[in-house]
Amino acid sequence: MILTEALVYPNKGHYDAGDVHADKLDPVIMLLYKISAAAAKENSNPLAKPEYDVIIDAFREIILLLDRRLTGKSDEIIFRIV
Amino acid sequence: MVCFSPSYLSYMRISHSFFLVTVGLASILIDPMERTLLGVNSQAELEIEIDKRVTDTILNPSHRVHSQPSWYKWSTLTQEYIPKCLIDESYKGNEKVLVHLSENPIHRAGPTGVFSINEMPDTVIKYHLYCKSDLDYLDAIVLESFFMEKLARAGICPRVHYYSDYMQRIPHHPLIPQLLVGKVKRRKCRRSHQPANIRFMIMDKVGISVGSWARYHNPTFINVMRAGAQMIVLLKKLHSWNVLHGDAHWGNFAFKSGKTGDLVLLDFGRSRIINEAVDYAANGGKIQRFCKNVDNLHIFNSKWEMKSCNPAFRDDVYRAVQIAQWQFTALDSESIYSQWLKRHPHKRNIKK
Repeated sequence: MILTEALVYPNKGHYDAGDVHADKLDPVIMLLYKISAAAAKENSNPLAKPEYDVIIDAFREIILLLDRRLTGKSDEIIFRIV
Repeated sequence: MVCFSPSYLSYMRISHSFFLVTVGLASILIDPMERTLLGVNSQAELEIEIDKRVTDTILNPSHRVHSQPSWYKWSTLTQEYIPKCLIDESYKGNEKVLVHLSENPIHRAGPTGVFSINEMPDTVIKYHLYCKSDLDYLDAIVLESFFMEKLARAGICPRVHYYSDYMQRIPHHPLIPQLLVGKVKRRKCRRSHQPANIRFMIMDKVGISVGSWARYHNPTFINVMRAGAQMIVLLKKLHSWNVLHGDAHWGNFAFKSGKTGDLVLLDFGRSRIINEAVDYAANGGKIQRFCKNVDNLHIFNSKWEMKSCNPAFRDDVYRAVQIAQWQFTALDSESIYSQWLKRHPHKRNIKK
């Protein structure tokens, strides 16, 4: 959480984890969480296939979002992207 | 360019050798059919032409996109002609790499051997000594060091992936590099310095791995995301064939060429066909054992990974998705360096 916060607000320094709320997080970060959650989703059946489409769609959304920000078509706050 | 089918090429090879053996005047007599087809006038020209065509067939990927012959057909096809295609500087621009393997494989039990050359992350040879079932007739693969040096000098990423039995069952897909292994049996030639039996392996030449790219080439975040999406697409395709990769970390995804373009999946050493009829859950869900994850920078750890108890298809995807986590957490070069130092087999105990 601290790391994600630092990524969203790079100039504000260290945060406590409790200060972060989901609605304050950047949509990109939320999508990254979504990807990781879908990949790590537990299932009692070891042969269960993961939700590939959810992960691919999340990746696609991130790409579109970043693309819109970088090309200036979005009104959202542009944060520093590594 | 004329595209030859494997059956025709094998026919040419047989008829050609038949002429050489039975007729002493091979330089004068040429099979009229071959001469007509190939448009040559002398035996020397014919040999050159056949070599050229076979080399083209093997090395040109466009020939194998539409009709990919089976493993054994390729092996038969290349038996005669492969020794002539020794890896050389002139093969620098080709799509395939021919690698000679040593004649006498080492028979030894033990863990997976890892050799590094020049301490570069991509110049690593792996061979699995106790994986006898996978290494069917090649008990172990040992690459000769001078060929590795040649590969490195030619600017080719010499990452070697040993032959796995399961590779035969995987349908051809342009995103999965082909790996051909064979054994050449021929009489020892006095003028040649090559041994009588040559073990060889042909690999697709691929670009750098995604792991190296992300660590050392400073990619943008959006490009990392693009790579991540492609990795999942690739795994989805592989899993649709019920093939479990088993080691799908981002070091095993590489660019098809250079640092851009499509990704390919490498290293099928731990891959296996998952049989849906088998009740894996009865064994606690353990299909194979992985090393415990010791990466402290991971922010998402699920229970099954901490227990080293991996479910099948989820583990592939989970490991592939860790590319996002790396970008997420290790943002400065110092932490990347410390991470590298921690994992290095010889330098990890060195204090700063």
